Amino acid sequence: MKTLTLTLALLATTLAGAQGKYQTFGLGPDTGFNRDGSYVTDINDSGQVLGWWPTNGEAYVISPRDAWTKNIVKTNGSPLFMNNAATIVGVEGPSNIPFYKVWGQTAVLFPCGRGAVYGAINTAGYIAVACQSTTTPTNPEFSGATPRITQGRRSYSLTTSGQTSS
Amino acid sequence: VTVSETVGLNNLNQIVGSWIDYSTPWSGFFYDGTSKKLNTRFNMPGAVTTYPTAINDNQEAVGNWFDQTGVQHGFYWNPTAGFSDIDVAGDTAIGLVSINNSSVILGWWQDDNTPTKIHYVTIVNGQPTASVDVPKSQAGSTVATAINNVGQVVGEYETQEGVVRGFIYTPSK
Repeated sequence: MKTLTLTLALLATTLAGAQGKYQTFGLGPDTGFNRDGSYVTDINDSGQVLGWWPTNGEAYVISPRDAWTKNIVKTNGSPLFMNNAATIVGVEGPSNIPFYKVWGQTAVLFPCGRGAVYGAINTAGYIAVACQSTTTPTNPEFSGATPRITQGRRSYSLTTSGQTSS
Repeated sequence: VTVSETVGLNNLNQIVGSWIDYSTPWSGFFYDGTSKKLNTRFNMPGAVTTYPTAINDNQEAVGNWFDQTGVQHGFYWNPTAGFSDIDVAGDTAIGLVSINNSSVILGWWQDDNTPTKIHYVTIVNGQPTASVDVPKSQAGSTVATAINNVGQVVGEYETQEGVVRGFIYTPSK
């Protein structure tokens, strides 16, 4: 009976909406931890949900059938993104350095500067982020900051330097 | 040059986003990773500022633009038709978050009540098709952040007691 009770408590609540079904889940106490956007940030085509805990910024993934994977990586509260292979891109906390993390592997930090850097990741594992740069572009339009896709699969590829002085 | 934190990337390695410098207001850019071509004037015609947010694998992009009165609107773009405005009847502002490979747009619109409330919706062919509003949630508290290619939407909401929870919305088939 105790086991049954615990299992039921872990199951997400399902609510019926007029045009679809809502599955809801708890996020723990809302401490306002470095909040920069939503605590629930992405969903891939397998239905895996990516978010981070309000209490400490730890990322989690909820897989179908309510299977939780917690303490994936500590984030700084910026938005996170995930592709269909559950590779995650975001910003590590408290270092504020962007990272990508292939499922089951340790997070890899970008040489991309510090600060609030969001991004996107596609199915092939290419990542687009706006990096900080210490170089000053000579041309105000992307000179020295031309978006480029480099380094190949599951590595980082940077769109631009960003945040440079003009 | 400062580039927006929000960028869109599709599986064709095309990137959209926005940028600004000392002489240019926030403008959209479109970068094609195959041809290496960069368009730094990817702007909604007539817009004061343009902020592309997402692009799908059909090369359909969405984003937001501001008019001269400071009102925010949405836009849809594809290579054939170019830019078109997206607004919901009765909105005082609208924001487009993403577009999936089925051309379903996730966005929000602001009503004209006092105080105003934000309503998240899915949009197809420029028209709202479903409201994303968790039942029994605090009015106006639902925030949707992402949509996948199945049409599922995730985000967060507040209960009547003020507790923040997450949600997964699966549309009816």
